[in-house]
Amino acid sequence: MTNTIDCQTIHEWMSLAQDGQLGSLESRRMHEHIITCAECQAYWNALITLAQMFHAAPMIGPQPGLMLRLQARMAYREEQRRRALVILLLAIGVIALLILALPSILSLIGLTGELLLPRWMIIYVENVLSWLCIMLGSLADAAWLILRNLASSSSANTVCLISTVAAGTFIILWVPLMMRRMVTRTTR
Amino acid sequence: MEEQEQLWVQQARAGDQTAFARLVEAYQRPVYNLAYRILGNDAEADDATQETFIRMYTHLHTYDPERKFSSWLLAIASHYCIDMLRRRHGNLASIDDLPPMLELSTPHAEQPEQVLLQTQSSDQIQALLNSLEPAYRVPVILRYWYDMSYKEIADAMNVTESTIKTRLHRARNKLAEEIQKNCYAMPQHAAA
Repeated sequence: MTNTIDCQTIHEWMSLAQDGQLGSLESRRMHEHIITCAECQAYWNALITLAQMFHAAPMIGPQPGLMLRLQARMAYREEQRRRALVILLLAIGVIALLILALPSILSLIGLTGELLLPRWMIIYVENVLSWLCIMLGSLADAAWLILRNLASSSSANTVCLISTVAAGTFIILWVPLMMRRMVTRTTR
Repeated sequence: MEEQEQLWVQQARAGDQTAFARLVEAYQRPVYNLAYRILGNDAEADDATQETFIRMYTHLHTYDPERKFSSWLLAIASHYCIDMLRRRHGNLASIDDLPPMLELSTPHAEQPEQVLLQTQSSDQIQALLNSLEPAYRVPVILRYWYDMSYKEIADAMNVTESTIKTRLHRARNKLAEEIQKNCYAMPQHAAA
C-alpha cells in the first residue's frame, strides 16, 4: 500500500475518471497505482459497482393522470387567488366606507350622545375619532404618494424614492405623536 | 425535438394550454424521477412534480432560450426538492430507512425472482442516495441519471464547477464506503 496522500489523489482521479474528465497520463498512472494498492483497487471496484447500479436503475415515472391532478391544483390555486382578491377589495371598500361615514358618526354622537354620556366623554371620543380620521387619511396619502412615485420613478431616481419613504415614515411617526398630545390635552 | 420544444415553450408562454400540456407530457418522467430520487417517496415526488410544472408555467417569461430547457426545468425541480428536504426540519432519512417502493414499474410478466431482485436493487439504490446530504445527492442524480456535465449541474445548483467536482468526489467517497461496508452486488443484467 502506498502513502495516504497518494491514495487520496488517486481517489480524486478516480472520481474524474468516472466522469471522463481525467487526462490520459493521469489515467495511466491511476491504473498503475491500482495494480499495486489493494485499498484503491477495492475503492475503484466500488465506484464501478456504483456506476453500474445507478446506470441500470430505471427512470421512474409518475402515477397515471398527472396532467389531470396538475390542472385540478392549478384551478384550485386560481380560485384561492380570486377569493383572496375579492376579500382584499371588500376590506378596502369597508375601510373606505368607514372613513367616509366617520363625519356622520361624529355628528350623530354629538347629537344623541349629550343625552346619554357626560360632556367630557363626548369630547374625548370626538377627538379620538377625528385624529383617527386624520391618521388614516395621512397614511392613505403617504401610501398613495409612495405608489405614485414608485410607478413614475426610474431605477436611477433613487433620491425621489428615498425622499418619499422619508416623508411616509415622518407621517407615520408624526400622527401617533400628535394623537397622544391631543388625548393628553382632552383628559387634562 | 429542440425546435419543437422551443415552439411549445413560446406557445405556453403566450398562454397556450395545449403547448403547456405537451411540455408536461414530455418532461413528467424526468422531473418525477429526479424528485423521487431526491425525496425518496412517491407522495412527495408527485407533489414536487406538480409544483415544478406550476413554477415552470408561472416563470416561463424568465426562461432564456439560449439555455437548455431540460436543464432549466430540472433546476427548478431540484431547488424545490431541496426546499422540501429543508422543511423536514433536518430529519433526513438514514441509510437504514428503506423508502416505500410504490412506483417501481416492474412488468407483471417478469418472474417473481427477477421482480424481487429489481426491488432489492432499487431499495439499495434509494438507500444509498438517502445516505447523502441533499447538496451531494442532487449532483449525483443529475450526473448519473441525466448525464449532465459539471457546468450544467453547476448552473442548475447555482454553484461553481469546482464545487460540483468536489461534491461528486465526496459523494462517491461516501457511496463507495457504503458499498464496501454492505457488500452490494452488481445488478445481474448490468453485470451480464
